[in-house]
Amino acid sequence: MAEFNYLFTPLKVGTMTVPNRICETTYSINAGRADGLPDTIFTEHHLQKARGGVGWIGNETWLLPTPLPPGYPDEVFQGGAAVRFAIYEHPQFVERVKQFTDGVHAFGSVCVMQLTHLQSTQCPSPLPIALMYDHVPHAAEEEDIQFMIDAYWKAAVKFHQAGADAVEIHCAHETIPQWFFSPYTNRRDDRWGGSPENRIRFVVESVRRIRDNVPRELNVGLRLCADEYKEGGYNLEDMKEIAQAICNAVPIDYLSIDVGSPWGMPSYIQPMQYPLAAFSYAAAEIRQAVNVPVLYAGRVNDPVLAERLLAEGQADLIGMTRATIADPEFPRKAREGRIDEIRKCIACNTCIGRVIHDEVKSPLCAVNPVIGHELEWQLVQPAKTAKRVVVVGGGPGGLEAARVAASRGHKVTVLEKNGELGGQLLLAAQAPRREGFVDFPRYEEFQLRQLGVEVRLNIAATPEMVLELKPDAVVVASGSVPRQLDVPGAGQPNVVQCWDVLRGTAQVGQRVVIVSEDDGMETPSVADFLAAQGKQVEILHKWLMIGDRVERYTKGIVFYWLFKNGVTISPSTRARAIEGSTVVAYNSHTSEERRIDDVDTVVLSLGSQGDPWLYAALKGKVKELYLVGSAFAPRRMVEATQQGASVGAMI
Amino acid sequence: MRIAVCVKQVLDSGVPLRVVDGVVRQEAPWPIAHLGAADRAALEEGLKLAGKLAGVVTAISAGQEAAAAALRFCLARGAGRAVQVARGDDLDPVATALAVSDLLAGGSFGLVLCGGESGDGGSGRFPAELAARLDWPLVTAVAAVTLDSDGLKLERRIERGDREVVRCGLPAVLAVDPILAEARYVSVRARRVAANEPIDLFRGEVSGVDVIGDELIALEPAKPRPKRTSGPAAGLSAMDRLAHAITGGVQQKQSGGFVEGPPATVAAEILRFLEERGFTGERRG
Repeated sequence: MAEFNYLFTPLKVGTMTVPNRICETTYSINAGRADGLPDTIFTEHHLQKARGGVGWIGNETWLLPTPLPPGYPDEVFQGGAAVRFAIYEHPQFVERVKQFTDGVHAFGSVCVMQLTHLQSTQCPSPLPIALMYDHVPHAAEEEDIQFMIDAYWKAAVKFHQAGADAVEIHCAHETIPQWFFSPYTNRRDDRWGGSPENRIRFVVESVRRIRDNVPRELNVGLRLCADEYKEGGYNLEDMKEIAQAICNAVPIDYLSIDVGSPWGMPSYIQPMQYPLAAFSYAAAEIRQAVNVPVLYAGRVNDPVLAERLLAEGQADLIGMTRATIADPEFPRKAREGRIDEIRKCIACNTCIGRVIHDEVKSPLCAVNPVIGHELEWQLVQPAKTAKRVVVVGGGPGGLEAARVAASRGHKVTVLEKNGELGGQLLLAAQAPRREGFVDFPRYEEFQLRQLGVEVRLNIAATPEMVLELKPDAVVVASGSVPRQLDVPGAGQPNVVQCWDVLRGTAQVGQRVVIVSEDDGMETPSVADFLAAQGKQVEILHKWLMIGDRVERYTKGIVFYWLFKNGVTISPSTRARAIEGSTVVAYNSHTSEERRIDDVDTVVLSLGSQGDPWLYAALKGKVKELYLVGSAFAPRRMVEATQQGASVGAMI
Repeated sequence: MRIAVCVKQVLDSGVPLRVVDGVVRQEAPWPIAHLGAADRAALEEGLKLAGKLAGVVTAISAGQEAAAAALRFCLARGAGRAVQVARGDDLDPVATALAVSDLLAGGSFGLVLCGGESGDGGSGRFPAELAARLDWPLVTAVAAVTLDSDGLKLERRIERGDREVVRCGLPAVLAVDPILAEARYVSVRARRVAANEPIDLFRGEVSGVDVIGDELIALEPAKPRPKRTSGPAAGLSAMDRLAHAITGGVQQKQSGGFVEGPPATVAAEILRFLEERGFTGERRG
C-alpha cells in the first residue's frame, strides 16, 4: 500500500494551518453564478471537496473592479473563463461569503480567495497582450494603476471580514500583474516599468496596501507563472529574482507556482498530452530561492505522484484541482488506502472547455457526472425495487449506466463484444499522448467488481441473447460506426478508416492524405499517430481549421506536435474523388479543384454515426429500454458518461 | 572509580521480525543481544577507562528479558557487574531515567556513560533526564575521551564535522557518539561464561511520580531538500525550454539507415558516423 508521509501532514502557512497538502487551486468553471455572490451551486461544488478532505479550498477567481464603467464590453480579458466580479461593496457580500467560508472551516480546510485583475483594456503598454488575439489595450495611466492597486486591499478587507484565511494576488495567466512583470508586455519608462524593481512595483505596492489595511492574520500569497516560454518574455531565472525581490520587499506567506497561458502553449491547464507534473522543476527552483511555502499546480492527478513531489522537495503544497473535480472524495480515499477507488482525472479538459466554448457557463466533467449537477444528484435515491438490468456495450456510456444502476441496488449484467472494457476510449488511447483515457475503464472495472456487476466479455449481443436474460431494463450502449465517404473511388483498397489505422489493422503507406470532416480530436489524433511514425501527412479539412471543438487549453499542444512532425493542414478543402493514387480535392468556398498525386493511402476521419440496430430490434420487447452514448448520437466522452449515468439513475 | 554504562536492547535489523499478539518479536531461537552503535561505543569506552583507572564497569539496562540479554552482552565484554532495572516493556526515557537515577544515587559512581541516542527510539532524552535527576553535568555528542591529570578532556562532534574540546569535572554523565569506539570482539567462551553470570535486579519504584514528561501528538517528516531536477537550461530559447519540459529533454530520434557498398565505403561511413558523435579521437582532415 502506498505510504503518505507528507501528503497528509499539516503545514503552517503564515498564520493558517493547512490540514494536508492537497489543494484546490483557484479556477473558473463558474459553478453557479449569482453576480459575484456565492450561490447554492457554488457552495455545494466547492464544499463537496472540503467534505472529501481537500485541505485548501481556492474556489473560483474573484475579479476586481476596473477603472472602466461596470459592464463595459472590454472589461474582462476576452475569451476569459472568469466572469465573477467580487462586488465587495454590496451590503450582503460579507455575510454571503462568510456562509461559504464557515462551511469550508467546518470541514477543517482553509479558504483562499484569489483576487484578479483580468481586463484587457488598460494594461501596462499599448501592444497586443496575448499572442492569440489582436487586442491592443490603452496604456494604463497613473490613476488607473492606483485604482487597480486599491481594489486589492478593499477586497481583502471584506474577504477578511468574511472569514477568508488568505487572499492571493493572481500574477499569472496573463493578468495585469504578470503584464507588469513581463518585459514583453511592459514597455513603460516611468516608475512602473523598465528596471526589474519598477516592474514588480505594482505587486509590491498592492501587497503593502493590503498589509497596511488588513490585520496580519490574513495571509497573502501570490500566484506566479514561473516561465513565460515566450521570446522577449521573462524566464525562470528572471522569475526567481522577481519572487525573491517581492518576498524581500513585503511579507508574503506563500507562492503558488504554475506555468502557461490561456491560449495554450504551454497551457496552464495542461491536458493529457503533457507529461504529468511536467513543470514541477520550476516550482522546485523557486522554492530554493525563497523562504516561504511553495505550491505547485500542473497535471498532478494522483496522490502517489503528489507524495513524490513533496518528498523530493519540489513543492510544499500540491494543486490538484481537476483531480478533485474528477473525484472530490479522493483525499479521503487516499488517506484510507483506497487508491483503486479513486476516479482519476484524465485531463481531457472538458471542465474548462465547457466554460470557454459553450454558451452555458456551467461545469461538466467527463468522468464525474455529478459535477455541475451536485444538487440534482443529492436527490438520486436507491431503487425501490431491484431490477434485472442488462447493459449492452462496455464503453463510457454503458459503464456509467451500469455503475450508477448497480450502486442504486439493481442487478446488472454488462455484455461487451471486445475482450476488454472501454469501447472507443481504447481506440482514442492509441494516439500519442492520449493513453490517459484508459484510466477511466480501469476505474469502472474496479467499481463494477465492487458492486457485484456481472461483466461478460467477448459477447456480441443479439436480441435473443438479451431477452434470454429476462431483463426488466435494457440499456443499449453499443457505440457507433465510422461514417463513409460518399465520393467516387472511396471503396478503393488504399482508402481506410482512421479507426482501423489506430487499431493497427489498416496498412498505411508513406504518403498519406487525411480527409477530415471531424471537428474534435479524431483528425489531429490520427494525424499525430501517423506523423510520429515518420509518414508524410496532409490533412484536407472541410472548413476553416481542424480542431474547432477542441478547447483552447488543448489546442496549443495538439498543433505543436502536428507542426513539429511536419503535418500539412489544408483548410476549407474537401475530397471530390479518389482516382488510384490521386485525390481530387476542391475548395469548400470556391469549388476550385486541386489534384494531389502520388498518395499511398487516404485515411478517412469523418466522425461516426450511431449504431442502434439492437435497440430497434428490442423495442417493444422489454419493459424499459434506453439508448445511450454514441449509439444514440456520437458526441464526446462527456455526453456518453452523462447520459449513461442519468439513465442509471432513472431505472 | 565506579563507572556505570547504561545500555538498551534494540531490535536487530538483521534478524527477521514477526508480530505476535500485536507485539513485534524477533524470529530467533535464542535471546539476541543487540545494542545500538552509540551504546556499544559507551560500553567500550567505559571498559577502556575502567582499565586505565583500575575501576569496575557496572552495566545497567532497564526492561525484562531483553534487558538481561543486553547485560550479558556487556558481561561477556568485561563488565564487572550487571544490574537489571525491572521495568515493563514501555521504556519511557523519563521514567527509566528516574529509576536509574535512584539506583545510581545509592552507589558511589563517578562517571556514567550512555549512548547519545538509542538504536530504536533515538530521542536522546535519557542522558539528559538522568543528568538532570542526578544534578550532574552532561556532555553530549562525545567523540573522544582523554584522561589526564586535570580530569576528562572531551571532544564533541558538532556541525559540519567540527570538534569542540571541553573539560569536565566528575561525577558526570557522558552521552557518546557512535564514532567514539568500536565494541571489542569477544570469544564464544567468554559469552558462554557470561551466560551464567549473576544479574542483579533493581526494582525501580516510580509510582506516584508524574513520569509523563511529554506526549507524542504528531510526527512530522523533515522538510525535504529539493531533489536535483532536470529543468531546461536558462540560456535556451523559449521553445527549446518548452520542448525540454514536455519531452523530458529527449530529442527526437534520428532515423537510422543502412550503409551499403564495398567494405571500404562501409567502413569509411561507419568511421564518419563515430567521429561525428565524438566516439573517436579528433576528426581527421
